[in-house]
Amino acid sequence: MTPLPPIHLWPVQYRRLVQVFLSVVFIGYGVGFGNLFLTQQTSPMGIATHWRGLSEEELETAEEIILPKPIKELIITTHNHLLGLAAIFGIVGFLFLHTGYGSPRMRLVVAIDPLLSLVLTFGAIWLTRFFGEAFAFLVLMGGMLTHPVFLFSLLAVFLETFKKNPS
Amino acid sequence: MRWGLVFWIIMLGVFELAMAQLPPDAVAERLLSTSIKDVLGKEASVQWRRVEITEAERQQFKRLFPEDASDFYIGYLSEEPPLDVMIAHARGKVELFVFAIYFHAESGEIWELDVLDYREAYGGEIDYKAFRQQFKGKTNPKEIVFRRTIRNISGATISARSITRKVKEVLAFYQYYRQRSKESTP
Repeated sequence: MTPLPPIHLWPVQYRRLVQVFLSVVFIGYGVGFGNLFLTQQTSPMGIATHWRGLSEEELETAEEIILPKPIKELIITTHNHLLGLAAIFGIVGFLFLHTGYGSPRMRLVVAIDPLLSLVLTFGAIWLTRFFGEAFAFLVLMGGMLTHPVFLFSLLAVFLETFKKNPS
Repeated sequence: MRWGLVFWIIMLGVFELAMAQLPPDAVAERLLSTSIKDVLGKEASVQWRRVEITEAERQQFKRLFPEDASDFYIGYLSEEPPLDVMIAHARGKVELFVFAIYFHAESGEIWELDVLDYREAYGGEIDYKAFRQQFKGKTNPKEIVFRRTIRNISGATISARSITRKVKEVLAFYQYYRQRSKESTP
């Protein structure tokens, strides 16, 4: 099997398409991040509250009620995120394999990491919801393993598309 | 009964803006009997009454009744406490959901609120006790104000606002109906 050439050797139309695709993904990703901050899911406490709801004492005085997420909502959220993000991570990972960064093994790890971390994150969300707020740390860890690596690969591919084709 | 429910859901989708109060056969019997068991802690049968309304009354509560409505249904549970029950629907983000409001038949206060059928993936928290119990004891519709006397649910704002508004309308009508019944009783 002949491997695809590195991205910077692709025809300019292909590279333009990749640039636009990555830009849209970046905007969408940014909006998703904004939502995480708005719903205070950036700390273990915030994550636990978001999925498990407030305690009965807190509920009495809270200005806004936060209740445990219904199982129906957990299912649809997991379904949407796993399918949607897996497709994006898969495409960006595939593109990253065709950059010149690091060794082939390192590129494979970077390409696969966001996909595996995604499963870890959502597995931990279910554990947080049903077994205890301690698992919120695992959710945060999953996020830390996913986002920086994915953003790095996205940026790397994006820069690669601007490299000059020697021919 | 299932096809009856499908029919009503379709009809409600068409006439949603004009219709909110529902006849008892619009809801699967199983859903209502489960709800009654939850509220009373035991099984009980509802005696449904069909009550006529005038055109002026329909106009006054036009958000509850369709344009050609000439009657409404109110259920009575001859138990301890004696309860009146009305069935209504409201819209979540996209779909309609059906709920029952139980009133204490003597004091006229809201005794319980129960969501019978909620189909959307998001917003199902409106059926949690912590939210529903905010309506308990309310007798005056003016007491029901979203985000003031009724707290919002984070992540379920649309459904919480929608059911709050509809409960307020049904309560207003129920109090009117009680007054009307008193006046017509010799």
